[in-house]
Amino acid sequence: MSLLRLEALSKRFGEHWALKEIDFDLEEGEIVGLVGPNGAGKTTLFNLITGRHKPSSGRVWFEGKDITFYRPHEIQRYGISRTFQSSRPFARMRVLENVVVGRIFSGKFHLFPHTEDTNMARQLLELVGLAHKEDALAGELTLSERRRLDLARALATEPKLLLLDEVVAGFSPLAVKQAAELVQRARERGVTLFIVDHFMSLSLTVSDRLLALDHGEKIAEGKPQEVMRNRKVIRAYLGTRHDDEAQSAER
Amino acid sequence: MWTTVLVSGITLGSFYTLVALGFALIFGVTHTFNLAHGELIVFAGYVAYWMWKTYGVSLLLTFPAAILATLVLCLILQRLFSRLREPMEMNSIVLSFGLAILLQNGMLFFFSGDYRLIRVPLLNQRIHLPGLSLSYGQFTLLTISLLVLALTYVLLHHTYLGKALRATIQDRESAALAGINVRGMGILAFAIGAVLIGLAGPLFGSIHYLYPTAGLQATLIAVTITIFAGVGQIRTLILGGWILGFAESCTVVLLGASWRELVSAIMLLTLLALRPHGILGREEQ
Repeated sequence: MSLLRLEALSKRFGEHWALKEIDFDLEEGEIVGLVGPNGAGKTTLFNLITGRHKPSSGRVWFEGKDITFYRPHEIQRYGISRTFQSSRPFARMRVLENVVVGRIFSGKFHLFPHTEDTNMARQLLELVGLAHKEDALAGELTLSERRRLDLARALATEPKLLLLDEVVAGFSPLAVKQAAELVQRARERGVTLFIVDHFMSLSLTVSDRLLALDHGEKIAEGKPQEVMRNRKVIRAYLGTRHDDEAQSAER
Repeated sequence: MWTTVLVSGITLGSFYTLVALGFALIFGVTHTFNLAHGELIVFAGYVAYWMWKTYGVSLLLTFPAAILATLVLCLILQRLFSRLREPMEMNSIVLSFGLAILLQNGMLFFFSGDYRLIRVPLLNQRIHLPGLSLSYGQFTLLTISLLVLALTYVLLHHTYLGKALRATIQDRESAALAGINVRGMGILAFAIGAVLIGLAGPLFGSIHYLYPTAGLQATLIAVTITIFAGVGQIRTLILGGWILGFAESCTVVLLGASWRELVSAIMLLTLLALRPHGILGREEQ
């Protein structure tokens, strides 16, 4: 049984098909990169998995359970967490508190703050390299610090599957390298990862497999090197102009 | 004379903060802009008045009944508001405007249009302390208001439920991603708001005449202070309450009591001119 199974998943906004009949299986322990040009439907796919949007048709299965129409916090409690493309911490809370919030409903509920939760939050801040910032207001962090905080917050809920949406967009090569190490460390904690990464700077180095989308359709899946050589993928990324000309010449 | 003004300003201001807190919390968590807030306070005041008048229950002992009655009413209202679609702020203003009129007429029917006051003679006696003198009424108002504000502060900042509420105020989607049931938090916010309203009502009825449309002033106060402070920030709410209370006390001394009700209206207009983003009480994301 795969951890996550997408079954003919489609999403239509008005006349526009954001996603069309996506079938995909994610196995436990994998790191899968979700790639494709702007507007390919990557974020929409994440929104469907996390319950933010409901699909027009199709099903989402998680550990053999149909979670298609569960509410976001329920899906979260079953073990799927995500980060947003634009980082969204609780801006008026301290960094440590931001992470602790993820612990509130993740285990046995306590009314008053629990030392174990605080300790775990500190460990996670250590992991992402923000330990020295625990008392800063989250709203005052830099972009790269916010993204690292996002990761710590997501891990605080102890997800089985973590969806990362453009975590390294705008990062320097060095920062991308550090992020890749973080992703590996998350996997070592037993987390399966699904990574949206438009420029593939992260997913090419860490992914076991890639899933490529274009205009809401699956155009390729498989080993990163194979997907990269796939003609449809190259065409999607480099534009279709030459190809169109070639096709019209053929006609 | 100025110590008197200061004492009365801080007393009134603390009470105003209590009046605003329920509104701010409900608005922050659920985006329900409840124009019937003042009517709910007057309703709780009437419940207390009725118990005091009919059964001779002392003011402090009317609180449980006032809280319970408001809680039931607020949870019914929560069901209504939760059916609204986005944009929540706009739709809830329209719905609650209608509800306010409905509540006013209901109260007119049950309690008539007469002016009622919970008169407790003891509250007019004065306590003399070195350098200042205040009435038992002011002392009670100040103590209860500050105590409730402090308890709410502890609840919001030092318990997990409070942290979940504040997280929901700051970003609902991120909150849901942290496993927080946003709808559940909405019900909780209405429940806590109802307790705060149930506490404010009897106090309101002991310092201000109760009549079916008396709630307008309380709504205005709640809206003004909330816009000044933004939601979910009790310390700033208190500051806003004190400024408003002090401004009213000064006005009463300098211009006379009849000008008092204008103060919050003018403060609201000034705030809207100076901080137009404050209407939503949230920072830009």
